[in-house]
Amino acid sequence: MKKSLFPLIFGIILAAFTAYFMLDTFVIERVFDVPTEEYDYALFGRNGQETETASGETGALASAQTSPDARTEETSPDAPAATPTESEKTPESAGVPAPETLGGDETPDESATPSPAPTTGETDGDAIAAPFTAQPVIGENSYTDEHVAIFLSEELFSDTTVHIADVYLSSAEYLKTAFAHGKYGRNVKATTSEIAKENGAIFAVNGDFYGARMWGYVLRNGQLYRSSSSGGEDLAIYPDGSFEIINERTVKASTLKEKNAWQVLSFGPALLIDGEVSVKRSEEVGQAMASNPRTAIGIVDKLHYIFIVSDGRVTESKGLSLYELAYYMKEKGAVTAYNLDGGGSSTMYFCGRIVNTVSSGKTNDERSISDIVYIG
Amino acid sequence: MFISDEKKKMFRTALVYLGVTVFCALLGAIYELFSHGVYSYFMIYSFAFPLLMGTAPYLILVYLPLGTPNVHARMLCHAGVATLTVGSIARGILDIYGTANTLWFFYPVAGGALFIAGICFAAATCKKNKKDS
Repeated sequence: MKKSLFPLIFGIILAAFTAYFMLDTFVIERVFDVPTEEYDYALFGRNGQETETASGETGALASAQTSPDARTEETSPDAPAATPTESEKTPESAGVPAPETLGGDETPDESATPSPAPTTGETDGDAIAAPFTAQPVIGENSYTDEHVAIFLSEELFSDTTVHIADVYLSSAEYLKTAFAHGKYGRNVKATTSEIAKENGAIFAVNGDFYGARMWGYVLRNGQLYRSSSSGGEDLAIYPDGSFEIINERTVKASTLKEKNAWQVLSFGPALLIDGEVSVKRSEEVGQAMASNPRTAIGIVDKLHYIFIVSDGRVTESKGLSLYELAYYMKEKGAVTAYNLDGGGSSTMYFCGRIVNTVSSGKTNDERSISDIVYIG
Repeated sequence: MFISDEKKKMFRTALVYLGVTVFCALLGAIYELFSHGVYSYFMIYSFAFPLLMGTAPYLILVYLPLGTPNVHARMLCHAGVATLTVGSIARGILDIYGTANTLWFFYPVAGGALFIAGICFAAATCKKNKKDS
């Protein structure tokens, strides 16, 4: 072989492999075969009429979930259809999604009633006081219906804008997750708002971006998709709405499935366990060591959850460290809290709009991600 | 200064490796600057491969009477260092993004194998060249 030919050929091979490696990591979409078994809401004691397909070509996991329309029809069959009059503000102008997004049965409320008359939600025999309303009531920063109550607020904490969503549910079945385009796979991505809209979500935050990693349990809506351990801490959500922090080193995915876990999120670390901050001041996600945009989920009380998204990487908001986030969660009354994917992924969606400032500083520049956690 | 053209060539090669070292160090520094505090040791220390496996050995060969490795041995070593350096940078990019890919293991395995083969070949040819001279 000529002296100059070897480096040339080797250089081409190395460059080609590296190009393929990068494409395989970031671009090439790989949808994994997952069992498309039918699964129902037996976890919640529902009857067979409400059986839904857990996955499928058309994003069944996502799109088959009960949309606000369907739920309204399902739970309030006698509810009169809202007939907008000219004097009523259109949903778009009121800052709420169009009827096709949220459903035509809602009654957009321009006055943004944040605290409608409380009713009592019955769950598993335990009565919980939650501000539900018989009919959907949509405000600029609130949403209530028979099963869901969401109240958004914004605070400044540690030079950071923090978006808070207080969520009350009548059942954990309304706390759902969805994959991008309803497909489980690597590099199957869409923005939080796209996935939320595909699933008729009222409220959503980014999930754990399972598709960016090759390890870590993926158990969603009661179905186990990935059982390879990352050795990290996971958040398990059970059908009764309770949270548990588990470690993949000690708890197998199959065990979680046997325990009827409803959702398992694999990012971490846990921020609060039993009301105590469980991260050290210096602890960070992987090799991140700075204040960053963050997304976290916590449980305050039975079926009362708190979602937090902090802005960061912008001049107006520096972002939070994990310790600050944990401390803030504790201050807000969370008992168990868990850190989800952050940075450019951190997004909070509510009724057709992005609530936070994504890290690029532009609301229309959302990062495409693998999955969301949503209420709907 | 140098006793032979071979030594001059090796000194030039050491300088090229030094250039690659500086390039890798700058690339790592710039990448870290824009990574919002997320860092990767693979990115930061990617310059170590051309420095320790390129510049240093070639300078040793220039200044110490260890003989001259033949061209094939050098080619194998170059290929190994290039593979390891590119692999380190690639791993740094993945780490900073927060992802992983099992294909990455090609880089340390192939790079290490090429470099070790090159060193073995160089050791053999250096001995032979020394005897001949």
